[in-house]
Amino acid sequence: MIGLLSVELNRFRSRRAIALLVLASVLAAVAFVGATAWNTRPLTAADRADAAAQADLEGLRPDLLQEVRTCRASPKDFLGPDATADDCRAALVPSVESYYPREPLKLSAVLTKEGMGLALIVIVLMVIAGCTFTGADWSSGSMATQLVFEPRRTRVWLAKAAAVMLSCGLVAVVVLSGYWLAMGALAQARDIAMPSAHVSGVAWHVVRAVALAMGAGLGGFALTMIFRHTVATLALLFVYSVGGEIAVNLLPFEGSGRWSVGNNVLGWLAPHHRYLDATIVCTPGERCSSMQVMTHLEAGTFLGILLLVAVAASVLWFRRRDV
Amino acid sequence: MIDLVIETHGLRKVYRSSGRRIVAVDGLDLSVPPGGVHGFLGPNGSGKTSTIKMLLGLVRPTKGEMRLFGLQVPDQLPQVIDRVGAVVEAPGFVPAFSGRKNLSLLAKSVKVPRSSVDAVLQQVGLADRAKDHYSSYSLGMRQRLAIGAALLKSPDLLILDEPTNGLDPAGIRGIREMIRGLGESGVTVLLSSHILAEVQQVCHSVSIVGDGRLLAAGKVDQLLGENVSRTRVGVDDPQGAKHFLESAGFTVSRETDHLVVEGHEHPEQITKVLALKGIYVQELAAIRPTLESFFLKLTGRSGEDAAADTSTPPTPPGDAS
Repeated sequence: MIGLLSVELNRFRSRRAIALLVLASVLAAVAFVGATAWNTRPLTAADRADAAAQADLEGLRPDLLQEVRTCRASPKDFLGPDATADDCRAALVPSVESYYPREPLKLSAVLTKEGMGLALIVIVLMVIAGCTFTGADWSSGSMATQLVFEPRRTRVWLAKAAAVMLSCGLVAVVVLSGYWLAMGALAQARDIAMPSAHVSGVAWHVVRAVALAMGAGLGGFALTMIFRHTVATLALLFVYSVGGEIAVNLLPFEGSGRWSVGNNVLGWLAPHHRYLDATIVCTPGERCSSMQVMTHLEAGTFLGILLLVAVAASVLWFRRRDV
Repeated sequence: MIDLVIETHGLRKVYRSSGRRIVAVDGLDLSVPPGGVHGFLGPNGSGKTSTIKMLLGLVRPTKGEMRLFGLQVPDQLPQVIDRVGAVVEAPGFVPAFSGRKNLSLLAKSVKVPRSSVDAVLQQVGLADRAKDHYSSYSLGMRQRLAIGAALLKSPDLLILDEPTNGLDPAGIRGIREMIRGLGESGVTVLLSSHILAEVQQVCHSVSIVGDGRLLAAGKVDQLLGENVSRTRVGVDDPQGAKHFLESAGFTVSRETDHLVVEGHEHPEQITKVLALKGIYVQELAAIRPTLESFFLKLTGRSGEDAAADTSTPPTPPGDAS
């Protein structure tokens, strides 16, 4: 089995299409590092001066000054029971910071934006890698040649699946860790504090993204072993993703957003993913909300069951089919 | 010592395609003794490739029993596969890998030493092109690489499905010599072919199939009637020659500008009769039976029937034979 796995790993890394997908993952990470670094670059003196001028101008608006005066007269009615007259200006007049042209680097913000985007890109690329790895075996006819050497099909399937999972996991680890190490280095270079809670959040995000990339690669592989064609599998996945989202919104019962693939993927990657479930309609006075929260456990269970079904079908199909 | 290397009883394969049932193999009983080259002869669509695929576990039989080296397959195939090398249909390799890399990966998967790869590449004449991508290989080179892969395990049984397809005359000759040599060295070779001349040249014994059934089996000489002589004779005076040969007891028919003579043991009997009458032979050639004629003779059908039959059934999925 180790020999077979080693052969499959060799085949995986030697495929040109897969090398291109890995390269695309690395380039995406580099592009995201560059974009994040640029979008959060330190403010210049001119940026600060512009912001201060705009804040001053805003503070002179008559309607705003009138509002501040009203607030000072009755702060408790305006800002709540604990408010005092001194709180009114701070609460109503925009600060200089709110006119800064960009936010400074903050790991928690990067995690929900660029970090999430990069993870999704890597996951999609690993799905394609899993599909093309075995799709090429079928289209070239080399699957039959391999089976003449090793007729135990379950072993062949497992060796290929393990190679896909390990390789996809390795690519995801390298690309995502590389991105976050670069982010860490950037924060350090800019003397930005990295609270341990943020670092821990990033670490768990990377762990979950790597696990999802491995599962995505395995899922793509398993489905292509059924359909024997890369493009057919990718087309099916596309139809399932897009059509599934539409179908979920059309389902005639409340809470069907729970079954959306997109919500579950984001629910797995992001902490306490909040999503709008259009199928939940709240009547006035009713204690409910269309905004729902997806936990990691819920998302992981949903995605795990999907993967399990694809894997079981793939193994059974491959064991019995004529080649 | 086992009695038979390959044994099938009542082997049947039915493909289902678009709601239709296509019987590719229909109760085939095949027996291949150890050693030598055994021909597996039949026209395209006769079930040869399906049978080979079932023996190798690539296709599941609908019914029947198969044994390789006395072991039941496909259940016990893993125990015997190391003794079997095979080329099935158009062989498939990874196009972006070199010939050597393709073979190296196959060798590694079954723990065959890497030195064997270079040895078989040399044996099939691909040593000079071993580093080139498989996608750049000609059809003949691909076929030779497949034969090389089949030889990697130094098999006791070599199953070759139309191995000379796509080869040039020199390549065909080389492969046939290699097959003959392997048969003489004690390897059992099952050579699937629709080319009668190939079977006649290379094989010791043969099984002839048609419509998925065994039509005949035995020694090549006996089955294909090499001792039944028909000779094509070219002379200046066909009419006179026909008269003299018939007088001498031969059966003679005239075909345009030449004669076809039957009923002699050796062609020199013909030249002797004609020379004594002052007619000198310009052309003398033994007429070998073609697979088509032999097949029609076995099935007792006319050429038109056969043509109608072969045009009707579609080729089963994944079956080239």
